[in-house]
Amino acid sequence: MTTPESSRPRWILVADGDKAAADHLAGLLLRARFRAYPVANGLEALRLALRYRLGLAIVDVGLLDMTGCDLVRQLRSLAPELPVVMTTGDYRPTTEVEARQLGIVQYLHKPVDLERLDKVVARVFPGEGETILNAAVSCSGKLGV
Amino acid sequence: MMDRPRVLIVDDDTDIRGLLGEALTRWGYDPTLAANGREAIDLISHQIFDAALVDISMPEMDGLQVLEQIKRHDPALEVVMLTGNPMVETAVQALKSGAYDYLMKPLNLDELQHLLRQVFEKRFLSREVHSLRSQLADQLAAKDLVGASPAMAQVREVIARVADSDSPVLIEGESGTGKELVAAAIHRQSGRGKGPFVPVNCSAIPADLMESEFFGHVRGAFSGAVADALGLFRSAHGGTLFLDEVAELSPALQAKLLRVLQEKEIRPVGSTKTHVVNARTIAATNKNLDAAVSNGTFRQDLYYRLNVVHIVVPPLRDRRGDIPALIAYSLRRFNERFRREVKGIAPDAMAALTAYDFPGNVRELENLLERAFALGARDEIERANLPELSVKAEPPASASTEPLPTLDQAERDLIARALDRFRNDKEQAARALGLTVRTLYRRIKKFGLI
Repeated sequence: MTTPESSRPRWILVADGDKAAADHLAGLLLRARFRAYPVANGLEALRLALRYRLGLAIVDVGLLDMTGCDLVRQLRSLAPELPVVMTTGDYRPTTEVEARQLGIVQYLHKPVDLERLDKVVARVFPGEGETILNAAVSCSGKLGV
Repeated sequence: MMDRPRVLIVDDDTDIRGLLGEALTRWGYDPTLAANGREAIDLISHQIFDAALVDISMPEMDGLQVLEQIKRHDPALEVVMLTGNPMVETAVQALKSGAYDYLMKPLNLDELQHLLRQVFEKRFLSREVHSLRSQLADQLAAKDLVGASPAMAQVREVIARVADSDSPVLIEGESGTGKELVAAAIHRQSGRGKGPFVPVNCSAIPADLMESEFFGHVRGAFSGAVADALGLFRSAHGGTLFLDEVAELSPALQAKLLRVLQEKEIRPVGSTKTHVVNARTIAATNKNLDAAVSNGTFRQDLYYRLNVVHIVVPPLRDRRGDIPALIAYSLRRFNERFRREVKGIAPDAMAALTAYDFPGNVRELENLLERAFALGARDEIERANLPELSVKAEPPASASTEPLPTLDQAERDLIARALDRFRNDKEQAARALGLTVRTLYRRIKKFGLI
């Protein structure tokens, strides 16, 4: 009945209202040997967070049913120390100021700089997995999400 | 559509798979079919399911092995085993390995439907997602500094005194003591309260990304820089930048941070222009920064800059008197979140909590209570809802030479222990054993436990 938290798998949540973008990034993470799960809406993301101990959340500012910032606020109430990367194709400074107030570890404009994301992932999961950049190169040669 | 419970069906018989798939779809579930254990394991390793139906007898990897793998992967996933007639022993083995229940083949679909409904009714999941949907998490997250102990009164007094001074503040305290709450309180009470409060955990940022995270960058500054980014300092303009785990800053960034604090301006990566920033810095550390300065890992000049006002947040064990107030505060929050009406704490549970040392401080207390809710606390939190608090060591594992009990004996003992622990409350005992109440009654009768 009681399971030590540490023995649970650690998932990477990839939330993006653009489902194809979420699928693509999650696919790269899976190829880089991480457990990644793509969602397009916040409710689905919360459902994941309730079931699993998330290790990292990569959340886009735009989701289908709520804003990415709202999702991050709700995730924080479930997992106060969850590292969060926010992504966005919205380059306005106000968007960045709102996101930064959530205590994120990285703010990434789209198309996502995979080299940067690799460094964040390596920081969160030291010694685990491979690089996303290599996964991206080996799968299609196409960079960016 | 997205909220339909997901059920994994694992059976090597194509007809049964198809039949179950159709039935489950009709009942409103979202079924996924797997023809063997390997497929099933592959599926659960990158998809999430709420329940699984697993045939016990399959070639290669049998159902018990699949069950074991599933439970290892996700202990919370409920598994219903499907078994042919002469395999009752195997089914008992399955229950002991954590299966929710089992059904005999040929399957009675009504029974299956009933059982699945039971599985999902019991889950907190749907209720909790439902309640989250209707509430803002802001109301759920701990935001206040709780406690009236002299130690906390002193912290509050310092906060009130320094809030408006605009001086840098260094907060020291063990992890889980609520340093961020102190920083946020200073921010709120200061003239910057309407401006942004930007928290950053310095240990989470890769060293070579620190500069552009803190000071921003201009478009084209490096290959991935597709647009101008403000960075942390400029995002906190007019407000407060909270540097948590400040001891983790790279030496290069320490030097740059010192300059920013002195000159009140920053230069984004790739830019020739500087920008004036007006952000108050509050730093926090769970280490002794003094020691970091003397062994050379933290710059002394930066330490002096940050440490104009010093606040020490006391560990919970030094303010045990605040434990009841903290519990009351957490109960309110978790009652909201779990839609419960837990009114208090049983005396023995309270005694155990107040005697505990809480190396993880307030956060550990919150985690313990949250776990108690997840373990089914109802009217009040009982000692049994706090299994992590067991101070007494478990008896040593029996030596390998001891005769093994039979499965029946072991099962009987287990059930008797559970009934004893939950004072004969069948529902709680069944939950702890991972059995349905109905199944538990069957076992109780079988073993003559009443």
